[in-house]
Amino acid sequence: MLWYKMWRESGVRFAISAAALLWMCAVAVLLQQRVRTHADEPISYPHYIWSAVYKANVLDLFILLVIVLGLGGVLQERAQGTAGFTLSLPVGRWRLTAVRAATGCLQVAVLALLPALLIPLLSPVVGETYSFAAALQFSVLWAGAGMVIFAMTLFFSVVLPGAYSPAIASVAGLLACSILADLPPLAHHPALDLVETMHGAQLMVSQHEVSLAALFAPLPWLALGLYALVALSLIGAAGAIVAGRDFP
Amino acid sequence: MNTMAPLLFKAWRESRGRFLISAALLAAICVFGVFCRGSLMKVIMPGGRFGGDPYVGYIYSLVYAGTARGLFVIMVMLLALGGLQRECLQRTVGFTLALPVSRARLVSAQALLGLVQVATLSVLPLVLLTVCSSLAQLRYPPAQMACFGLLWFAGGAVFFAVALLAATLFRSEYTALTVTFVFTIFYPMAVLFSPLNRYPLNIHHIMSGVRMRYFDVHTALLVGAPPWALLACMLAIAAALIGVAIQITRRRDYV
Repeated sequence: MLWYKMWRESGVRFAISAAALLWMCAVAVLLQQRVRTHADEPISYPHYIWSAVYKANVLDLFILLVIVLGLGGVLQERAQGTAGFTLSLPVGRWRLTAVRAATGCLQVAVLALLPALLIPLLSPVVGETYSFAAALQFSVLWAGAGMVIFAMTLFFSVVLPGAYSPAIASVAGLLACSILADLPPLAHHPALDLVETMHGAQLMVSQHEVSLAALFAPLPWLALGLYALVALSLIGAAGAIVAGRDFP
Repeated sequence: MNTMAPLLFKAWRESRGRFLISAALLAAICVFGVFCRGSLMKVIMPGGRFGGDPYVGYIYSLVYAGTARGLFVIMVMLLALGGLQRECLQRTVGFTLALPVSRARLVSAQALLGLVQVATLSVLPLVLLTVCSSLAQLRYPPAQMACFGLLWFAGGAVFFAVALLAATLFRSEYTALTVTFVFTIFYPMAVLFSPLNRYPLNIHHIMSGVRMRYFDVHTALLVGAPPWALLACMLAIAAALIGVAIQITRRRDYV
């Protein structure tokens, strides 16, 4: 029942997000000839896909959509006068937060997987090929970092009142993270730059050699483990705040 | 009695938090960008292939074509959200609609205040970069900043109007936000298709000058007169979208 409730609350957002991501990936593939012809230097198809999808517009869209998926929750329901109905359900507040987080994380993972499903399928239409394994590597990066962004927005949704403040705080958090990671004391820890990790520049180098067997070898597992830990901590903190809070 | 002032105050009370956070973030990037340029310049402009004044190129890459501009677009759209649909969800719409003013006036006040906020955010880099650059004994041409401010205001007005229309159309505030975000990224890709690609329709490029005749990529400076026709077109589009939002609000049932 709780899963269904969470799905109903975020279903429209998720559907629009999925449709938008698919459309953007399709446009990137279909326009490849024109963009590559007008490029300053000749670029290969995998490099083009990386710069158009995994490094630029589509990644920006993915990040914004993950932020939107993280919005909502009991604090926002209070403003609408429906928090009482949710809190009177025969389930603990921890469970409410956990199910909401799990639904969101699943949605983020599915969104991250969409480019990996569409791009290899659509590439032959324009006379090119793109390895599914290579696309899957980027999906793992997107899913791992996306869950941190989702957890951060979920946390801000529990702490900050208002429908849009958590979105602003998340954007600000990401920017701060990005800028701070460029400063000298932190510049030697690339994992701290979430967006840079999602770019997956190190994966681009070995685009052609990717096989299913070597699929997971070049991924930054330490960074992904760190992200999972941060995401779990943020979700835990959000759960603790919801559990201890009065919602008058 | 002038009813606009109380309506503007109401709109200000509803959006001031978002506006102040937006201004603070934009200010932080500008100030931080100038005073931490030593570290950031190596990351933002690596290789030293840029031919013009490095500081001009750096500020352009960070503020007028980079992080600050992206943030400005997102914040401008967040400023436009809210309004009667959101009040409907919070069950306060009855109080607002019971005010002795027309719905058109209500939305007009929201739009007017929003455009003033967009203008303020557009001018903010000009003020801060002038002060911070002089404190750091550097110089970024004020005329350039003024011209970029104009471009930001016109582009920001369009994004604001799109978000206002989305907030009017969609009942769920998160759906409106999703649609608005999708529009920001979707639209520049849509204009790559023929026959749209023949015209300068990408507002992101218009705002930053990228691939525009009025921008010299080698010096990262705007050249010649501001593109008045483009600016007028964008403001006209923004006005038309706000007009549509007003018409929809006038005819809608808020139950």
